Amino acid sequence: MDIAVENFGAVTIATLHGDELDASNVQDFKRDVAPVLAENRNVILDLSHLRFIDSSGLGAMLSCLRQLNATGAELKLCGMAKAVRAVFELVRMHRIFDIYDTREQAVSAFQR
Amino acid sequence: MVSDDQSSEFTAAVEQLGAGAASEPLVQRPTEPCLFVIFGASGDLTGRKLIPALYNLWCQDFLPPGFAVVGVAISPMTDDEFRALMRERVRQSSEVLAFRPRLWDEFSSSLHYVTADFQATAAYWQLAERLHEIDTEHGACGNLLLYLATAPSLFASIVEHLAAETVIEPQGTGTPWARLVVEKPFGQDRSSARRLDAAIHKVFDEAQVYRIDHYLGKETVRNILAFRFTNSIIEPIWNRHYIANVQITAAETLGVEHRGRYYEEAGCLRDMFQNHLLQLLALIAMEPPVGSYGESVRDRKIDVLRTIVPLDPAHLNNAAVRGQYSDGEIDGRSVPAYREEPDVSAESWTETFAALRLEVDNWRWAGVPFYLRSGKRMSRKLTVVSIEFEQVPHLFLAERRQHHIKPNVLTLRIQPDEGISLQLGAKAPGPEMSIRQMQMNFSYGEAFGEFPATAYETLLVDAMHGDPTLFNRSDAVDVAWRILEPVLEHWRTTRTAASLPIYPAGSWGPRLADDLLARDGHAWRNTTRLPRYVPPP
Repeated sequence: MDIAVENFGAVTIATLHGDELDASNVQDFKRDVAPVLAENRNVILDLSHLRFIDSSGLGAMLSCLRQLNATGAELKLCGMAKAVRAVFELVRMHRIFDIYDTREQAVSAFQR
Repeated sequence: MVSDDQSSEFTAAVEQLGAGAASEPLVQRPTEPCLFVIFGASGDLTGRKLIPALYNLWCQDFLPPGFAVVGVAISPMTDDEFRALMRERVRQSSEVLAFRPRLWDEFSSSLHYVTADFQATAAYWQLAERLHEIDTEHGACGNLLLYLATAPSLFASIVEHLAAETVIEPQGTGTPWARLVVEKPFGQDRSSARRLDAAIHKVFDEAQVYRIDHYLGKETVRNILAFRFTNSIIEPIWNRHYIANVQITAAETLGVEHRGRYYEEAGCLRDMFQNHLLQLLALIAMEPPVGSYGESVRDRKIDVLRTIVPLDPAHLNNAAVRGQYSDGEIDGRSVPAYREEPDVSAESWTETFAALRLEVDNWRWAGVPFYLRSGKRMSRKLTVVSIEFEQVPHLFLAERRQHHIKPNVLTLRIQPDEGISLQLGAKAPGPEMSIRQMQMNFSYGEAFGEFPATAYETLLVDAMHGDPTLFNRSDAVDVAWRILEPVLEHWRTTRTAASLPIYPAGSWGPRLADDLLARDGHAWRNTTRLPRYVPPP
């Protein structure tokens, strides 16, 4: 899975380019996202290309959140497809993440 | 667009998560409001386990409407001080999903604190008044989930006061309800456990009592039932015809830490066997539950515990071994002997290691030894169940090739590295028929991702639902004490150096524990990994 990183002022958007985040590629994702988390404080993960996530993908999202929170940095998610959002809701993870429909909304939430 | 394939993959993922339908959450949120009252709220358990678990449940919207926490303890504190203290514990906890200040602020508005001396009658009048106020504030409808997390010596007296000072009404199992969660240890021996039970049963029906053993809420422990009874290939071989022995190990590298005072009174047998290890044994050996109702699983577990052959006091040395750690080295670090630990007597006779050989006398298990051991300051942190299968009845290989043939071993790793593996023989590459051992492995982390521990969350939600399946029932506690009683008595009265062998910290316990298995032709499995196979040059 490719991760494209863009910076908008103090906000960093990492877009996941891939249909799926599951046990088959979750280790690659963790490795690729690690430097983004290490170097930035206001991070948005744009999941709009994602069509499928399983519990190991959710686990990876949770460790991103924990890692950023541990240093006082922030994570927001945006662009979730319905099916992806449904998995977050299924395991009741939707409250713990800041989830926005669009990247614009996520960026402006950081700027508020 | 989501393709059909992806949509069916999504359905598959949902089913894998165990829900069956995308719109239904995995666990139902309890619907009945309640006050969660923690007696002993200034103690370690509250900040280390209970509040982080409740915070996680709040984050996942699993707490019922009209829910509030009331911490009760002798240390003087205001609501705000209690909230600030708990905030720090949750912020630093490795067990919370993630610390989100916004969610904490929402959750912490439901935290309250009442200062009370548990021995003073007037304190219970004040408690009743505060509970009434807090109930009115949050709309808890009079339901009370009462959690005893104090020193065990206070359990009976607190329960007695709760009834005598009408903090709770004698409502039985009706509404509004009161349920009592009791932390371990439940008694010090069989007679004290019975006395505690009698004191509790004067006030609560058994159906209102939830004896908590967090082991039973662990995913890997709950998976024992799933593994045994949802896979058709397992059950036919799960018996004396195929299984040679069962080993249950709960080893810690930690010493007694700051719990010296408690541990001096308890020892390893009371601390680990009476609850965790015998419960694991029951889950491994039980018959299939006949239904999903609350008592079905508990009924089958007590069947097993009742069929454990009582240990013969005249031959205890062949069935029970104890030990105590001396100084030694763990992970390259020097550690002191047990007798040099804080709050421990320099002449202590407390065992920090115990091993038992038990037999389950029923149709399924007759003749299969169950070996249980647990210890502190052992070589590795490892909680594991190893099922060693019988050797094949005949070998087609030349005799010189036979020494690599080992029995199959199924390993259920409870912690760490949670998972299940099966050791099998396979032909090593090369022209010769040479057999090596390999492992088929299932790892929780790889299959399901790494979620924080959830044992307390599971158990607290179950108690809010009124589901007792994962809690210990009165009869199971009694039988567990009956099993251990001869050993406790023998060790209490036998004070010879030979009967309490000293093992170096960082080892696998005293050698006598190895003899326990060697007499049957077996050996402890001290590792869950096979040595790496190096092909011949």
